[in-house]
Amino acid sequence: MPPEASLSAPPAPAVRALSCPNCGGTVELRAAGYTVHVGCQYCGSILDTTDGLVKLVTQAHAAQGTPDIPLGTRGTLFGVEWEAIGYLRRSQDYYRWDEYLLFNPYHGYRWLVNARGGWSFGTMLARVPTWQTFSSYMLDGAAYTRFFAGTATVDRVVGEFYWRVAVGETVKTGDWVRPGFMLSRETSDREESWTLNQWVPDRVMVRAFGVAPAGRVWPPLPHQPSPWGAWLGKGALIGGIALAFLLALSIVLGGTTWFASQALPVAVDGREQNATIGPLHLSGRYQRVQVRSTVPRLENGWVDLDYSLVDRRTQQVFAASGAAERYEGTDSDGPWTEGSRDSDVSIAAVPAGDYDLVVDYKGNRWSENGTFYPDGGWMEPTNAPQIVVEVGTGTLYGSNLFLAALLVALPWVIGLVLHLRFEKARKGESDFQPKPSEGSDD
Amino acid sequence: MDRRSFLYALWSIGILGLFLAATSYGWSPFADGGRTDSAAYSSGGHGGGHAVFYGPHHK
Repeated sequence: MPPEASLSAPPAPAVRALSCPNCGGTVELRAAGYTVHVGCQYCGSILDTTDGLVKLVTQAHAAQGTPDIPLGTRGTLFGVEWEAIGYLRRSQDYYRWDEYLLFNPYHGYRWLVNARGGWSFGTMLARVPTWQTFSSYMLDGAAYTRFFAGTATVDRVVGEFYWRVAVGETVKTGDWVRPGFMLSRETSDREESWTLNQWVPDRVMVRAFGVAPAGRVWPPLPHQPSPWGAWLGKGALIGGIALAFLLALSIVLGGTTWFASQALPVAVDGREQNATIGPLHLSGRYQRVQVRSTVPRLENGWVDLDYSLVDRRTQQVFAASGAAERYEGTDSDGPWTEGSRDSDVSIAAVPAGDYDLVVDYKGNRWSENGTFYPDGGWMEPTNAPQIVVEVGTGTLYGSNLFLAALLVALPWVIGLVLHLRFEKARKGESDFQPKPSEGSDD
Repeated sequence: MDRRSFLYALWSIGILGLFLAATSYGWSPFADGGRTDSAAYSSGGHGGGHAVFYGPHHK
């Protein structure tokens, strides 16, 4: 078993050189005393070094390429300096990955796994995780969900290993994940071992071992944490505070103060009319002016309304248009009504001053020829049709509140969508991902 | 605070600022009316032009 406890003094980094009995190449031993098998980097032969002598275990003649991390490279991960002493390439069906055996005389062995450009730091466990359910294990209070299962085969061996490794060696594998971590179980006919793999960001590996940046790994690794997942909580807090501020401001600044009202008679002959309401004194530096017109007896007709708010001093005009229309009837679905007897319009950014509100209006009824209301309908003189115009001021627009809330929430919603997309792609790689149900043939 | 949260907080503050500015001016992009191009009012409609009347919109 590799050493875990600290020793009295760090040994000098010693490298023992051996000669490969097959090709004569120089094979370096960096963990002499612990190493059992060595893969020759020149010919691929496996050598046994257990008893001090070098014995050829498996003869090979295939030239071995250089791993992404050359053996002998040192790098600091999680505050410990590690040296890469062994390299394995493994595969499962068409899926391949690289494993580097790291060694530190005080901390023993660790694994560095590179799958599709993404890196993981593996620590062998001296205890067995607790079986929870069919699909989950627990370790140190955290749950891991089942992700992969299969059989892995060793395809290439270079460097030193603490067990009798061989090309073609197979183990049954199982993986369980949670964000950032993967529990891996390897089972052979001799033993069962567990490893906890921690996802390592690309930039950390570039800094530690000088590997080439892999860029975006897509689909993500099974245990790769969503780059948006952790931020969503903080984003919700920031966005929530901003929305609370918006709501508080709306309560303080909202509302309309109605300060003028006038009833205008509607001509029963349907001609265009004109009326002036004023003077209207606006005291705020800038304000929203609200004009609400109500036609109490309106039925199956409409009233066109044009407003001109005229500054008495500058004759500057602020204009708006509206219409009150209401209809009712009966059809095969029963009685129906449509429209409203009110027309509510707002005029934006009106400066302080004295104003006149000029109202151009015209009453109309539905179809004068062949009408359903030959008596004139709502514009019948006995109805005394009229419009009640009310004028008010305020500053807050409800539409502004809605727009601001939408814009505040937008980045968080985008983050949520990206997170869900990431998680869908990540989980889509699982061997245990529920498949969409197929259509029935019957 | 990480960069992403900082930028989001900055964005939110910017939106709040714009909301306050729009509210203090009583302005909205969705307002029904506002200042016309014409500088003076004359009878016959707003802005010196002819009043526009709208027809019914019932079904």
